[in-house]
Amino acid sequence: MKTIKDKQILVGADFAGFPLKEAVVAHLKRRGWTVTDVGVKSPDDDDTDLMFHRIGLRVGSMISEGEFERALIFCGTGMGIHIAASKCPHVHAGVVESVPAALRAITGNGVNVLAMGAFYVAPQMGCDIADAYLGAELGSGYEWWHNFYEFHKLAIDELEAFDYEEYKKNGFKLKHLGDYPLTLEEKPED
Amino acid sequence: MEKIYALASDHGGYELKEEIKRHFDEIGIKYIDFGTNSTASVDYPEYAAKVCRAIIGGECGAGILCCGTGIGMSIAANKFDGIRAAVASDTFSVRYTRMHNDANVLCLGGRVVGVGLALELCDVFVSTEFEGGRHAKRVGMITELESTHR
Repeated sequence: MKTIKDKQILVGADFAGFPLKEAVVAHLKRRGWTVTDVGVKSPDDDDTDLMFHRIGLRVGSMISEGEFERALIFCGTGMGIHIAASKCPHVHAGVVESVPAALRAITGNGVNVLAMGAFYVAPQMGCDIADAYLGAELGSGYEWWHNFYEFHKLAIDELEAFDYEEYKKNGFKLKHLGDYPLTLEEKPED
Repeated sequence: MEKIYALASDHGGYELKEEIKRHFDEIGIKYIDFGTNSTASVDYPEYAAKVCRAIIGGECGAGILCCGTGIGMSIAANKFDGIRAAVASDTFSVRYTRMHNDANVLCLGGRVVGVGLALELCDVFVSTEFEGGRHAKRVGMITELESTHR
């Protein structure tokens, strides 16, 4: 698997997301990242396999097959492409417009396919978002929060183990793989 | 009478200003472009001043200023009596700053918001009216804080 530790990232954009993707990829390459791009190669690329949701599915599949640890995807809003990616097994996709949301997406939800929309996010903001996302991992920054990692890992594990037919047969009651108290914690004063 | 919008930017907001002009041409909003006219580095306070003077002087009814984040422009613009400048990056805020603050200058960050969103923010800015009523009292209190009244 091509990992974040090895500065390997998978990307893909449709024609609408292309300008934002270009800016983010240029930024990442300058910082030593190796980028694999499975989206459109130019803004007027008319390969119909590269319609936003089809790129989302392809990127998702490369995560499902364990080829890449994480991916960055782009369309006009980021919404359609990430919904598509999330149809693939083992994909936890999210769409963000801010740095805090991008950070929490990885630290709290283990998002492995992050989407952004070129209509909403300016190129420089996109680069900041990518930096925040790629510079963190599940639980990082929340060591002061008792059980933050375990609590969020539990959700990820249950989503990974989720089988819809089994859930339905069980009367729509999920089999818990663990449990933690449902409370927010206050960051202690330094 | 239709408002004429005063537009200006520094180099960080230049591309966005050009997109706004294209959009305003399409939807029939009148504007005057006070520069800058390229991506060469300029100083935003100078361009904020041009727009504010045009509004205070009556040449324009409101303005839009673009820089990297929109914030430098808003700080400079708000130094002018009679100007209520607001930086925003969501349509809810733009709507309420027009309705309740009677904001007459919208400040946008070319390095923050995508063009699609920025144009929607402009649309809300040009189509929302000040509500008056109890809000007029508060805008009056802001006017009382201006240099000519202190």
